[in-house]
Amino acid sequence: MSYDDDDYPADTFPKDFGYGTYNQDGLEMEPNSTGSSETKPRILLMGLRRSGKSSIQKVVFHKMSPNETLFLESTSKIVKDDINNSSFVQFQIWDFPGQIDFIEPTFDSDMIFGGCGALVFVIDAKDDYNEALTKFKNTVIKAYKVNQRIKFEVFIHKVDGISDDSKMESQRDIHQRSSDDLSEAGLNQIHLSFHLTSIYDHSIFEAFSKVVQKLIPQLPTLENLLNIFIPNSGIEKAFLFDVVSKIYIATDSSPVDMQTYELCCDMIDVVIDLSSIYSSEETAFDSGSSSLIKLNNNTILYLREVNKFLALVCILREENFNRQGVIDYNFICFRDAISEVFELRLRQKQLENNEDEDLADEHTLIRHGNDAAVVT
Amino acid sequence: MRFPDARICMEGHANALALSKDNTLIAVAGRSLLKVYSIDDYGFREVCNMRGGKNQNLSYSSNDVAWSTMDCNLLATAATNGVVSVWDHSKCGRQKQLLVYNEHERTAHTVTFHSSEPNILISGSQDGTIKCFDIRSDKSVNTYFSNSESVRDVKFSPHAQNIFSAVSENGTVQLWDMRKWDKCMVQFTAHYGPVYTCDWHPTRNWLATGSRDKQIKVWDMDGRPGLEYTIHTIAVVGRVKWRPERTYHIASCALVVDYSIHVWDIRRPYIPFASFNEHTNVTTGIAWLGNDSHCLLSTSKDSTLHKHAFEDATRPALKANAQGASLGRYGDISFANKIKEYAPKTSGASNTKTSSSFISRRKSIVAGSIQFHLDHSRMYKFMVKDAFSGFPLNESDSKPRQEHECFIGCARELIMSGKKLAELCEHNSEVSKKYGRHNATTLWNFLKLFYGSNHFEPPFEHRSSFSNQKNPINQRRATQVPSDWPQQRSDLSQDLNGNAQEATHEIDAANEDDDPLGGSGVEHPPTSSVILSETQIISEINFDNFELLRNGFIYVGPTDAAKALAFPALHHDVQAARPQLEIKASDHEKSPPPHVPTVLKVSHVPPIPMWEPHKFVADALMLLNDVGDVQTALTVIISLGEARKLLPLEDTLVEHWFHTYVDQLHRYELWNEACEVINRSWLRSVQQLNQQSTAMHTNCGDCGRQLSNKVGWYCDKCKSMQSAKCCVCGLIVRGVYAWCQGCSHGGHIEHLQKYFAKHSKCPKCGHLCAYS
Repeated sequence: MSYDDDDYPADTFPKDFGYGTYNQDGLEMEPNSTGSSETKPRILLMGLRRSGKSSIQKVVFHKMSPNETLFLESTSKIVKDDINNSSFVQFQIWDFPGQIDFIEPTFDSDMIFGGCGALVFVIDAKDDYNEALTKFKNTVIKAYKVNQRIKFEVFIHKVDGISDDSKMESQRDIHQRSSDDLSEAGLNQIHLSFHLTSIYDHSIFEAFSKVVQKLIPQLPTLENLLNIFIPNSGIEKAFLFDVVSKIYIATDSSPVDMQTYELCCDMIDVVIDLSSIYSSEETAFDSGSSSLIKLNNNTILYLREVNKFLALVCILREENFNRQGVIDYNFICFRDAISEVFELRLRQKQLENNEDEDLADEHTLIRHGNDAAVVT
Repeated sequence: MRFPDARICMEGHANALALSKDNTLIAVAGRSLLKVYSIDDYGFREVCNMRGGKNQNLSYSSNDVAWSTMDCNLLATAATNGVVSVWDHSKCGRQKQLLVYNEHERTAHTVTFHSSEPNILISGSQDGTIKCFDIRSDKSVNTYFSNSESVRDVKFSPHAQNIFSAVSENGTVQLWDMRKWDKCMVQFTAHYGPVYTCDWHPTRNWLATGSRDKQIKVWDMDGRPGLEYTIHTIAVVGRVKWRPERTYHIASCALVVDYSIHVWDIRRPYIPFASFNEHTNVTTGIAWLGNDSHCLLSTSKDSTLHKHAFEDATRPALKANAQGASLGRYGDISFANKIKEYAPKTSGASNTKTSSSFISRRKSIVAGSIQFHLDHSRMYKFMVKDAFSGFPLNESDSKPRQEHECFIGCARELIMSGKKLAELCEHNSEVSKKYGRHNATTLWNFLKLFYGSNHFEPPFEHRSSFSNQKNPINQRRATQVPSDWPQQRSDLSQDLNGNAQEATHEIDAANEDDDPLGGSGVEHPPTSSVILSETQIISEINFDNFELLRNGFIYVGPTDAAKALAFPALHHDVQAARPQLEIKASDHEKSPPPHVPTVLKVSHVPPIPMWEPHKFVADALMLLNDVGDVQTALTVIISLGEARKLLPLEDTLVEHWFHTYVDQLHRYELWNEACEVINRSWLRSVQQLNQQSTAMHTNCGDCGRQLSNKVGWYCDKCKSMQSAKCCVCGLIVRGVYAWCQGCSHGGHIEHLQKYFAKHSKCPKCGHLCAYS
């Protein structure tokens, strides 16, 4: 059975793939672009000034080296960044300047929070975070009024500089105080998630992965597919990666080990770097991409392209790889299943567009995974 | 009765195991495995394979398995697709699967039965919910929203009927009352990574949690949860299980890297009490055989099921080195060792011991039997008496100094730049002499001779032959030969016709410099003695001479001996050299009078072997370093300035010296000196030492808390601008604010200047500020 990339409708993927172009418009947007951007869930990056918002955005989505972020100017306008690099992750990241004041009436909070999927609030762990917490509380209250479906994520950032014990202490303290603040305001039902992050290790990628995963309605389906794929192929752990940002869209249910994740991230870097040296075309990563790395501890890293923007990276033991045919066949089934998920979503999208643009439909869950034919 | 180890291979990886109530049956669950084994004294026997048959679906791929606490036939599994199933292994075929709850949206991670109500079970899932099922109905009874990404483990408390604990991937532990589904009773952050497992202590109200942050923590759950013990393991903790009948023992296994099972005594968290190393892949499930504390069951990804007897466990503590010793910076030594019970108390004190502070960490509680966590240890501290110097021999003539005093003194007083090299060398040789470092003194003097006058120009004695010839023609001719003198430096045998004028000057200067030194009776670099005796004649110093000279001055050992040995050798050398020199001299005399231009025997001079001091200086520095005096070695290199490039020393070695010396300076808290050394460095890696931390923290003078960086002088804690005021005049300081780094008080710099001219203590708190 052969797989052909042309099976996908060509307009599924935006043509302007690549991160070179992000528009640095101000708040004012052209009227025609408003319509298209509202269909994409938005991730807002907020926090006090100098807390590291732009650094996070640059490191995660623009491959900037963490050391270079020292020289980033502070952001003075809202920077909108379209991350529509895959049909799964179609969202925008809005990087807000720290000194922005939402209480000001000039701010169109309906517009800002309306189509917002997740609000990431960055708190500098090394700094005194009293002020940050106050601002966080105000932001949450404001945003919740406009849009109750926003997911609130708190990044306790720059934890590379503090000790393990104080990491936990500050997480506990921030958790406690922000929950207290919210319950004082009568918003007990708001659920906050906390992540300890640093741009100097992979914790920021992991945290962002979790943020993004919450915005993917098909996540349970994807997880299920992976859970089926893995035991039947003798694989220990598999990640479905967004290639450019190296965040994982889904993984199987076994616990994520940081080292494993870092290995897989590095592998993607290696593959992309190597193939951009030798590929004749502009895109370094396409439907034929696959790679195999043997580690010296009898472990194999196996990368297969799923579609133009997604890659599956697996870790397996060497003795299980002698059945590569089975693994490859299973993988093709897995890929087909994902493409079906795509198509369903597209059809659903079209229906939505035809009838009304109710965003709530995004929540409809597609239980799809069990159809996948799997050979043991 | 002793159980032998038993082992059985299964097909497929196991994820979990569970023991039935009467401890005769074991259920093992994995992604492609669900089996029941019976266990007896001889080993395992397969009772039932639930995955038999063709019709397999995802509900068979289990993450966790649990036995009913009442019915020996009932067990429950949590599957990767979120299905929670209840099985009856006594039935046959498809009917084994009694109930299927397909309610979790995502993977179910854990399932457990209630300890006293046999119909109730709860499950935790990746979707962040905990569901409670009653096996009499086909729907969930309750759903608890944990408000986290993923619930990794749930356990019923053995101490309270309706309480269960849930741990989740965001590092929190929650306590729920089964009857109150809307809100958890207690919630607290336990780890800074995902928590993967928890276990209730069988008798005490303790909860143990294991996390990706590689720690096992034990929480006292009475009232407000308090941290009792922390164990740092080497890998991500996968499962923990309290050992029955032992209050303080807990077994753990890791998710990655570490394949063995460790049993810890929580009172001694640094080393496992016992370890089982049989598995060849990651251990995924552990259980104690009922209340038998000597029998442990485990499954692993290597597809085996093991029964371990506690007698066969390895005891890592026995292999650990129970001694430790450390050297203090003032030459004292501390030594700690484990003491065996009833061992005769031998004092390991040597004769250098003046005070041995005896610290026994714990008092003996149980006499006779050594307990794992109560090992006795003893610490000795050996201090060096003031009367003893660093060297064992007594030097009557020199003031006894300890080695560290010399080091500190030298570090403070040696200068590395700012003057001419000759002056530097002179100063440094004096300093070295003062601190009894005769080798170093010699080296400094030697350096002064060879590099002192001109960094780039090694002075050569033979040129004195030219200097004696007051012949303008020759001079001119001589200067014509070396077109580019510095370039020919490397090719020394060619440029002996160096400009004589300079040479004259050099040698004169050298002689002048040497005279006072030689006269002062200090042990003197032998080189100068040779030169002194031969000032007016051609001093032809060949390699052999210098070889000996060098051997003399870098002799390492008692300094006196060095002196004593060096001189005779030299003397002999000089004697040996003299005849030759005299011949030369006589030759010279016999030659036509000096005013005749043809006297200069240029043709004779070229074959004179030239001598490069660089190699020997480098050797000397290496030797100094080898005998532990990196201080002098490095100071020499720094002082030489550009001339150091002549020395054949590798950059990596010099870098190593830099790091060593800076380290030593830091140990003696000589921060300024260390800083100077770092600044003088020309190596990138060393210079960067100063750039590692540039943060400067300011404290509020009133409360002593750190000021936030937002507004430099406003203290958030005491809500005042007090620290912006001058503590002498009480007004707010504009412009330069000077303050004491010790007590955080300060003010106008001119006020402080006036104040500290009369007082020595801080105007505000009486702190002894070192105003300078």
